[in-house]
Amino acid sequence: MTREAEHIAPRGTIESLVLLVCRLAIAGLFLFSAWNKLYPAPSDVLPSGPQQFALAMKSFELLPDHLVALMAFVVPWCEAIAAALLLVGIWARASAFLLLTMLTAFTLAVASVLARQMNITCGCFGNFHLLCKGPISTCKVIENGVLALPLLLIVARGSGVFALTRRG
Amino acid sequence: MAFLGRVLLIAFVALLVGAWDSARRPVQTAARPVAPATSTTPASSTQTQGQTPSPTTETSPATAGAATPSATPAAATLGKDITVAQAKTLFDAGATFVDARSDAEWASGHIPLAVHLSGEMFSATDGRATDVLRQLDPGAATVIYCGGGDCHASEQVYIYLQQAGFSQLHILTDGVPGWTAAGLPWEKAGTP
Repeated sequence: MTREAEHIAPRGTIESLVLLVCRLAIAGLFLFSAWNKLYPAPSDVLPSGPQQFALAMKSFELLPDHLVALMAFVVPWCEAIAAALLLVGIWARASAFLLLTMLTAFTLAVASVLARQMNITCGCFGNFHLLCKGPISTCKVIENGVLALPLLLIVARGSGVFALTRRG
Repeated sequence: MAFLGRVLLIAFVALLVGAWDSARRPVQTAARPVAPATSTTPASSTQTQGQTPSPTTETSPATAGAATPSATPAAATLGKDITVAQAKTLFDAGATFVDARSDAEWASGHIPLAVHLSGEMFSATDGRATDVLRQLDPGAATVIYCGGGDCHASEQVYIYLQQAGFSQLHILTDGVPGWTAAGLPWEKAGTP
C-alpha cells in the first residue's frame, strides 16, 4: 500500500459502508441529472434536454452564447463520467473532487443570480428538482451545501473497501 | 500530482465527448430573426381557449379577440423586436400574445386574451407548457412580452417557440411597462 493510499484508507467496515452509501447516492443523483440534461424531451412540442439546459444556462448571463452551447453538453457528460466512476469505485476521490468543483461553480453562479436579484429557474436537474422548486433562491445554495457533504467525505476518505480500486 | 492528473483526465474526456455531442446535435442559444411570411394565415383562432377574460377586466377592448386574416400580413412586415404601437396593431388584428413572466407576475395582471407561457413552465414536468403549445397556432402572428428593459424571459420563450415551429414571432421590447404606460388594455388578477 502506498503512502497516499494508507493516508486515505478507511479504518473499518462501517466507514466503508458509509462511503459506499455516499458514493451510490451521489453517483445515482448525478447520473440522473446528466440523463435529464442530455436526453431529448418526451414531447414533440417541447425542446430537447440539451436545448432546455442551454437556455437555462443562458439565463444566468454568465457565459457567451458559444460557450453556453458547448457547456450544455460538457457539463452533463462531466457529471455522467464522474458519477459512473464513482459508482464502480474507480478514481473515486478524483471523480468526487471534480463533482465538488462543479458543484462549487454552480453554487457561485447561483449566488451571483441571487446577488443580481434575477428571477430565473436553475435547470440543474433538467425538468426535475430535488428540494427547491421554482425560481432560484437561497434554498439552492443550501441544497448544494448538502450535496457537497458526501463529496467532501469521499475526497477526504477515498472510496472505501467496497470499490474496484482504492486508488484516488 | 497523480490525483490532479486523474481529475484533469476525467474533465478532458468529458470535454471531448461533450464537444463531439455538441457538434452532432447543436442547440440554439440566440433568437433567429423572423422569416418573411409567404402566405396569408389567419391569426390564431385558438388563442382564447381557457383564457377568457375575467369579470375583473379593467378595460375590454372592442377589438380584442376579433381575429382577422390581416394579422399575419401586418406581422410579416415587422422584425423580431417590435414597439408598443406595432404590438397594439397586432393586438387589434387578433394576434396571439404570450406572457413570458413568472406565475406570480402573470397572476397579478396581464394583457387581455394573452396566454401564459414562461421559461419555468417549459422546464417543469407538469405538462402545462405542452398544453398551452397545443392550443396555439404555430403559423399565427405571436407577440411575446415580459417585464421589459433587461428582461430576458421573452427571448427564452421566443427560442422555445421557434424550436416548436412557430414562424411569426415578435418580442414587445418595452414589455409590460411600455404597454401599461401607453394606457393600453390590461386585465387585472382573476384569470388563472
